[in-house]
Amino acid sequence: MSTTQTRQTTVNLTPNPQRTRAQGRTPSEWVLLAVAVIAGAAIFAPFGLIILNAFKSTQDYSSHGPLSWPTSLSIDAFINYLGRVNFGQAFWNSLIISLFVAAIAVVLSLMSAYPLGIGRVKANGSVLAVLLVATMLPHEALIYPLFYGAQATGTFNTVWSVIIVFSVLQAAYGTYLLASVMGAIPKELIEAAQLDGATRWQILWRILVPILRPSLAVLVVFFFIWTWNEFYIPVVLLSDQSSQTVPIALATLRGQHNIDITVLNAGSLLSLLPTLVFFLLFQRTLVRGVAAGAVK
Amino acid sequence: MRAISRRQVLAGLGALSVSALALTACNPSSQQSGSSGSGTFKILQYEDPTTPQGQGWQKAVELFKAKHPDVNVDVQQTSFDAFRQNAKILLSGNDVPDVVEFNKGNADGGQLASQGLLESLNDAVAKFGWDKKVTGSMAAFAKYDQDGKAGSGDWYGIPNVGEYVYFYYNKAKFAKAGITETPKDLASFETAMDKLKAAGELPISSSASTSQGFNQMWVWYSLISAQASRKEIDDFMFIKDKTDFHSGAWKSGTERFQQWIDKGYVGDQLGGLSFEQATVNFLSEKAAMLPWNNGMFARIRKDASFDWGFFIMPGAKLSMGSSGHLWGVPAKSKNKELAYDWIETTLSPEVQNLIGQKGGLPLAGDINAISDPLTKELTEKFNDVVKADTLSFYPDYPVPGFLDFIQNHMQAMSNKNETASQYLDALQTFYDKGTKS
Repeated sequence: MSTTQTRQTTVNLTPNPQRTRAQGRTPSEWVLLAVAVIAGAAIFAPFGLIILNAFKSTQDYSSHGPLSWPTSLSIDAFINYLGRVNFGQAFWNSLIISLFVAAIAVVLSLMSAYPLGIGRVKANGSVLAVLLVATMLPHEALIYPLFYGAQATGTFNTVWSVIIVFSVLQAAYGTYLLASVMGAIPKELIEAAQLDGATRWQILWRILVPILRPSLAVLVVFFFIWTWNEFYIPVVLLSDQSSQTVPIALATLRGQHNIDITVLNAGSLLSLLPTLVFFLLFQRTLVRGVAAGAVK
Repeated sequence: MRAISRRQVLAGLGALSVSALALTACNPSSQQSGSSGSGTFKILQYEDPTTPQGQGWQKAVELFKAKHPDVNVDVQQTSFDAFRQNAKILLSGNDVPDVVEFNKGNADGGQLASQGLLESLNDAVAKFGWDKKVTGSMAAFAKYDQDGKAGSGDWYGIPNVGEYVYFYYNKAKFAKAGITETPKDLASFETAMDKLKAAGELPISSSASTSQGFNQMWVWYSLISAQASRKEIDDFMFIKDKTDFHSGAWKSGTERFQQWIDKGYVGDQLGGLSFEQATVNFLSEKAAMLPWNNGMFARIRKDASFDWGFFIMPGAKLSMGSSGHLWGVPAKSKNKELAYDWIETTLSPEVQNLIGQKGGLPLAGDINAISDPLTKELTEKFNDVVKADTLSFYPDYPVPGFLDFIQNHMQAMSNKNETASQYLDALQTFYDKGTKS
């Protein structure tokens, strides 16, 4: 409700005496709407292209280019893709990896951010700086230790190597973010809880987690999508086809001097759907979290 | 909503670890693959199964399984880029494939060979007589010396097929421009392109994006090769006598390349185009010719809605082309004898003739096994250039990092930000630095 009220106030403030509320939008609102529509179209364009070309036959694509409408709908590209790639297996591996990483990394970030953001740890600034460096290091620099580590622990060619690596890498970023957010929480809140006799565990779970819920939800979504899209480390650690992820399966469609665009588009479309669904699902909780905070 | 209690969290974590155990339990195959015994024979390759070579290898797997019924054959599909990026790490690990497909050239195969990651195949070559099937320029990038330089030394790889670069052309557009016969030399080729331009047609569909825009590079190197001697190319390719880029075919070829850009034979705004877009421009009849190799043969045949033909750069002394990717045996392979037998299977008449019938230019196939006339013509032209020893390979083989370097300069030249002379200066510096040992 509060948002609609604000909007009506702005309507009244606009310098156009002829218009009443009932007549609808002012010119500036039309401009804003137009900008929003253009921005929306620009964001949708790549997805539109993928959808457009995924349903073309290769002949159609070759003779009319990527921008034309399909002359006839064809699902050959999907059949071809599913025939060449074990999509079910790759999808399952990606899903397991991304879900585990999202869950583990968020819990890990919360645990390590608590002492750094709320507690008094000496040189917590430098600790955070080190964590930031860890997230900024190019993966190429980490790959040899990770490879030999995975071999030594027997997790090479299993999804667990990637789950462990990304849980730690994502948690480094999550710790940095959550520690900063926790630093902004008023100290009085914590002190009040301490006076009421809350233990450290209770402060974390009963006070901080509810406040941080929107941030945690955002981290879960980010970690899931980032991990889903990862290529370099999985391609090295998961060389066996039975443990490959969706982006690696997609990459097998590209040859050195040949590439099948329609199949690649069909594959991309199938690979993109889960992240989209995941985002839409969590967007609801995200918005609810923000709204709950506003009411309080 | 109530806050989550500690107990709930512990229960949640417990559930996570239980499902983790369940996952490991119900996925025993991934556990076993960590310790592949001699009972499993692992082949790692990146050939698209729909290509002629890919189809041939599916046949080879059938034959191989029939020959070794007690061996569990595990064929793994990877991608060219993925294998290039992690070959060194993968082959130095404990769990290596028994036989791998790898890219030829000093930057790839040469490094794997010189670092001891690949097994020398000399004994197997002698035993199976592979040097009778893989000869001349087709064998050049199968051998590497201690420094990883191609052209001499031990055998490390065995190719199955060859490839060469030529112009696909649109017959209707040639007829429309009044070109009655395919050009016979460079001068008549340029006259033909002038006619095409006069008729309002773009002569060559090209591309020069630094990512995958290889057409311009191939046009440039085709022009070098057209006027080069065997010695000029071999000196450059196998790093023998010093190459002076401001002389001979290097100078005249690069200058002619600049003229082609200036005259508009290759079109403009190539900087953002990839080979895929250049192919689509040719297939959608926006240009009269496409310089590419036989890898696009099947697609053009399937997708072109017009009458087309092909010819090698007219009047060229040498032309671009090389062997295909190579089979190699990792030094840590546990089944080397089986690996040699696998390579022998891929060179068997059944597999080679199947590859030939599909248009894959086999090295040990029988031309008479091919019934389709167009495929036969393609194979005959290839066999001719192999026999005449006039293939000039691809220009990025000699130095690691050369591909990116050349692509950057191709883009600059195509955008007219760099002259032939400036490019040759940069080329001299890069090549000399990269080949200094």
